[in-house]
This record gives sequence, structure tokens and C-alpha cells, in this order.
Amino acid sequence: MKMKKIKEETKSAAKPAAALIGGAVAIFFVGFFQLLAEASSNIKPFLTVHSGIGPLSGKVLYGYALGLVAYFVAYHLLKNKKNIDISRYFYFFVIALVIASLLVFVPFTNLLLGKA
Amino acid sequence: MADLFTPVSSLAMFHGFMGLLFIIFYSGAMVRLLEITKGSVKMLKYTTLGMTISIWITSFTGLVTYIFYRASGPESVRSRILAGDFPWLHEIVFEFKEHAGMYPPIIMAVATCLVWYYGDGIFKDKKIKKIIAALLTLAFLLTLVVFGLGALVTKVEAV
Repeated sequence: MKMKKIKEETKSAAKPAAALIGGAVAIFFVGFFQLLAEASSNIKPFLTVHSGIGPLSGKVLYGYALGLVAYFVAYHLLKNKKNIDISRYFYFFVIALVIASLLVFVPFTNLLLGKA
Repeated sequence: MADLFTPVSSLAMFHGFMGLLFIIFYSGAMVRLLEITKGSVKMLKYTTLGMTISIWITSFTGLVTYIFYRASGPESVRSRILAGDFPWLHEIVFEFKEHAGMYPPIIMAVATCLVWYYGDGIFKDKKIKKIIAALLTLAFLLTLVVFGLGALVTKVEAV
């Protein structure tokens, strides 16, 4: 019981921090692939994993896959780190979400690409 | 009546129903999180898991419905919207909805990882509690926006 309590108190934040990084990467890349697709139609065949769904299938599949890879890499890098401040990773996640939301908002991407 | 319940429209209704279920689970999870005690951690785990499962099903059924939405030919919903009076409904609104709708499943996966990982530790650490509440609320708000945009598009042209 005492051991369990000690273990709980010293629980590493490596896994939650890695989850936040992985999630941020996945979300960011869905938005980033959308920007690439808007910038050049040459990338659309690469992003079309499912012909019915179209380029969205690749954006989601590759974005989620990159997020998963980022999770494992981040966990590997953080697992031995002590005193992880989870708030910093949360802010990173929120910033990635805001950027990714802007990247899928067409007026913003048109402005970014000089189309407007 | 037969036209009202085509396989595609039934799928679209199920998609909306799962989104609604997600919103219901959110209220349950937030009640558990705000009044957190040892006993409610177990319920918080299950409500966040419920949110995650419902939002993943919502997104997956949304992707399947999207196949019919963007089908080639002048009769598809996308073609009809683009040829109609409000082409911006596809060019701006639906473009945002189809992509931003893929974010809540990830937000929820992260939030559920945190809830199941910390367990009873959530009520000992206010910082973790706030982060989880923020993640759940972000997923909820984004789903609500996507939900509203879907309703807007459906009002003009239904799948």
C-alpha cells in the first residue's frame, strides 16, 4: 500500500507529455497537408489513399500515422527525464490546434498563398 | 417516406446521432470532473472513453457519408452546392468542416490517455484536472462548430 502510494506520487509525466506531442503532430499535419494540397495539385494523387474520399483520406491517414510516430519518439526521449512540466506540452498542443484550424480555413490559406 | 430513409441518409442520421451522443457524454464527463471524488474517477474514465468511442464513430461515419457527398457527376451534393447560389458553402464551410472534424478524435484520444493514466491522481493535482477539462472542452467546442456547419450545409442540400 505504502509502495503504491510512493509510486503514484512519483508517476512520470512522460507518457501524457508524449501523448500531447503526438496529438499535436497529428493535428498539425492534417492542416499542413491541406495547405500543401491548396498550394499544389501535384500532391493530390499522393494524398488520395481512397478514391471515394479523395485527398482527405491521405491527409487523415498520414497525419494520424505521423502523430503515432511522434508519440513513440517523444516517449523515448522523455522517459528518463525528471520534473516534466505537463503545462508546457499542453500549451504546445493548443498552439498546434490553433495553427491547424487556421490551415484548413480557406480564406486564411488563400491569404497565405497569395491567392486572395 | 422511402426516400427519407435511404441507406445514405440513414448513415448521415447515425453520424449526427453519434455526434449528439458525444455531446451528452461531455456533460457527464464534466460533471464527474468538476465534482471529482475517489468514486467518480471510475465514472470519469468511462464517460471520457464514451466520448472517444462516439467521436471516432462520428468521424468514421462522416468519412463514409463524405464519399456520397463528393461523388462525381452533377447529381452529387457537392456539385449541386457548387452550381447553386451558395458555392462558398462548399469552398469555405464544408472544406473547414471536413478537415476540422478530424481533430476532435485526436483531442479525445489524448484526453482519455491522460484520464486513464493519472486515475485517482487527477483529484490530487489541480493542474492535471484543468488540462483534462480544457481538452474535453476544446473537443466539445470544435465538435459543436463542425456540427453546426454540417447542419448549415444540410439545410441547403441534404445527402
